[in-house]
Amino acid sequence: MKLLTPEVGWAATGQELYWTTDGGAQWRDITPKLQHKSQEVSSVFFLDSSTGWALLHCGDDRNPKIDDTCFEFASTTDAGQSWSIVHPRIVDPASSHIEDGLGFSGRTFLGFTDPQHGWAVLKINWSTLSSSGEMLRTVDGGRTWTQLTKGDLPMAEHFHFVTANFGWMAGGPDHVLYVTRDAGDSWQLVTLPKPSEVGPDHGIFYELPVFENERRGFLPVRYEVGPEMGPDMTTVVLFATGDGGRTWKQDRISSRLPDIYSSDVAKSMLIAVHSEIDKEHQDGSQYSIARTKLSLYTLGPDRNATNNTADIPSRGAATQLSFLNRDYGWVNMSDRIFATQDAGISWVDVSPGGARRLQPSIHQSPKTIPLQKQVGSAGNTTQQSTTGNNSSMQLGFDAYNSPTVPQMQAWMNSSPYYVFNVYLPGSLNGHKDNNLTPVWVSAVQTQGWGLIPTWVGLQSPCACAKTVKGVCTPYAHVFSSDPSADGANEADQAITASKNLGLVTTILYKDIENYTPSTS
Amino acid sequence: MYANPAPINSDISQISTIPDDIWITKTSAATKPQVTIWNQGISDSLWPNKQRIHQFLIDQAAVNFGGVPLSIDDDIIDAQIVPGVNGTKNSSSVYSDISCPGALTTYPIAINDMNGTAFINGSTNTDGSAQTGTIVGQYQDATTYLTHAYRYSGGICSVIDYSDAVVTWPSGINNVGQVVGHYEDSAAKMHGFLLTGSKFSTIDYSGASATYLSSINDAGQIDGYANVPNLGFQHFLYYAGTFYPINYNAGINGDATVVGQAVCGNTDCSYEEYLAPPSWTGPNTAVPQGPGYNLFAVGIDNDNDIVGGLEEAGDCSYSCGFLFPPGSAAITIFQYPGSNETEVYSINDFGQIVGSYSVPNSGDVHGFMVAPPQ
Repeated sequence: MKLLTPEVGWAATGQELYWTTDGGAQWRDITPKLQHKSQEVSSVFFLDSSTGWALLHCGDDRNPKIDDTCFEFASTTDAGQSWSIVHPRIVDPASSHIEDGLGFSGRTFLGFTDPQHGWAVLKINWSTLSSSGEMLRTVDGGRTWTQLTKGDLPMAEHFHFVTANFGWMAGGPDHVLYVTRDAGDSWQLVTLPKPSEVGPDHGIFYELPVFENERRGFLPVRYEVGPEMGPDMTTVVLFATGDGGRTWKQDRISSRLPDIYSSDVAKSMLIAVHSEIDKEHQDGSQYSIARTKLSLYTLGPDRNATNNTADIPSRGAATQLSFLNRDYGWVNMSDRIFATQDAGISWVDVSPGGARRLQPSIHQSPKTIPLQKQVGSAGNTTQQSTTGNNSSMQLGFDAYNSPTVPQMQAWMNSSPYYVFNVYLPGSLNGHKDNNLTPVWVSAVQTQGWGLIPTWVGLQSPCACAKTVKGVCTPYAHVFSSDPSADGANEADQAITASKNLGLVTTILYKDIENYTPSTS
Repeated sequence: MYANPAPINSDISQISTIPDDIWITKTSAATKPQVTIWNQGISDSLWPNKQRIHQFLIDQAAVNFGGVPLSIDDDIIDAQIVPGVNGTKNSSSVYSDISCPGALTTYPIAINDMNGTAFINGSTNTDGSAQTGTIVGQYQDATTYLTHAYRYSGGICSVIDYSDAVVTWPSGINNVGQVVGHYEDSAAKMHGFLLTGSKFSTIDYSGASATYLSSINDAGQIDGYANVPNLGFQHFLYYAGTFYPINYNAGINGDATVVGQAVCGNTDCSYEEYLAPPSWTGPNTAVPQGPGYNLFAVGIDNDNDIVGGLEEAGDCSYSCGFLFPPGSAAITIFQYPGSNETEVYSINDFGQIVGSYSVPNSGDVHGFMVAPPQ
């Protein structure tokens, strides 16, 4: 989703790409003609109101023996009325380890600086603990693509090139920031000192910087600062550079906002959004129209701030912003797109494809109180207990970092999951998970979460932390020539770590990252 | 131990004292997640006894539940963990009607976890309706009165009749998109079928005069029954080309736990049966039952929630639906608002239950989905 001018923008729904020239009132389906049945519009980039590219990925109806990558690049110079499509052969670095589930995931990122120079990042399903992928580059407007061979792509995430050589990449499990000054051949980690007024934080999120020209740009950094058991809060610091990102200084700070998932910079204006499902309308027995409270915060170069809250018909979360200035922009709620022209005082649903979904034959019944009779329990809600024996069939999830206590409560209420994985602290090759404390463990167990305690620790010397062009980079810490002693030592450490978290358990899991057995 | 199948097979399963429990990471395409602990690249006979976790999707970005987007991997757990305490999930119930365009009656028989091509997340559809799993069932055309098998996905009903059949009855769908059921041929004989993609294959029990397939899980395990001359009805699990005798069949989940009915004295009652390798037999327990009930369990999800239908002398004299969450003392009984005849057929991992209800004094039958927690 991107607002290019006040009138022109695009939005992709997975399988379709839409174009508007009237600010979202009407949308035209400009999806490139797909060659495969389950093809998806994976990523889109438009340079202006006419020139753009789309990266298509054919799902799983391909024959992996014939075509193990199946990406197609489409380019247009007439706002999607016509597309030319190329199907480059892309080498899958995981295919030498041929095993189901490894290989390109289909998630991609795309960007251009001018009609000729562009880049694409293709994510690879490699490991939970890392973000990896391949970067491709074009210098002829996308007719031919070259897989970068020189460098070691540090992660496979959102990127933004300012010039043909100078670009940024942000995200990954640790939400970090990298810069390249040689068109993507090499990348350097960028870290900024935390301003003292931010105080203690649970996590730092670097966003992509926004540049007005080669030299002058802004970089929003979000710090999670909420109390461990209280509401999630975010402090957003806007850093500024005047020398192409070589030095940054704090420009503005917006302290202790409610939890922020995304922000944007437009016309030197910092814009951040907070969304939360409106609990007024969630009264247990009655399901009403999905509503979400959306709060938009702006902070200008003159330090003037605005804060507007509105109720919108959505049950999504504000995961993406695209603003042209303080007043005018879009928010992607993951289920719908809303537009504002007054800095978030009011919002209009501008989702594409709305009219196309009139066909569905499912509609809401006006009667919403169903459970007429209860046996064994009272009330008109179903309560499902998670207690009982510690070994029963359930769905769960794992994430690189533990969500906050309020986030875990929201997911206990609304998701089908009952179990969460925690990476025990203190292991080699592990990482610091700021939220994971004894207080957190106790709180989420009381919410009802079952926990899978996992020790990452030493890895096989044959395991690749990442593979670039068939060159394997092993993990920093590997088993020695006496793996038995290593294992016993690690087990003792894992037990101590779990006790320190207050986990009462008879089971601990050891994480063994993937390796190819025949190479050992 | 958390590991990929190749290291598990060649190294971890070979050490003298193998780990107590195994967490297999074998990701599938997000368009076809395999929410099961079996058939994941290591022998089913290894770690067979509630000793498995399967990480079936990784790197799912901005999955949204309750307005909170998180980047996650998905797991199904049937192993030792650290249990939570006092946790409850509250689900308010919402009914949505399901009917195919131009249908006189629509029966939604089975539902999976796939919203079109994606694993369901907590967002609504663009029209504000709740996301639903992909549904298969039967509908009767109001003009021709012909009965058709359908698949409902992304708001569209598509006919999936088997061309060699007189009538096609779908009864189960998994997250890989495979559909099972039975069909009647031109000689009025019933055969089991498996529909993968657009390809039908016939699965018949040896020597049977009729074969019926009930349900399929993501490991490709199918439960069903067959009428065999002189032997009567045979219940079976069909897996990797072999029929294993079982006691009950109607629904199966990713743990190969099956549910089904039996006759208990003067009433019908229901059981769940925990199948495990290598013989795919196992213990069973009864679904709690009140006096005088006829209880028909038909579906089970990966949290072991069981759904089905109920008849008794009172309000449910025609039929009600029931839900039995694992560990509960009793079943929860429900009736479609205003109806006196609610039939329930299937539940998915998001708590979405599909069934049908009759409109009193009209005889019309409509399909419904009762929505999950949002």
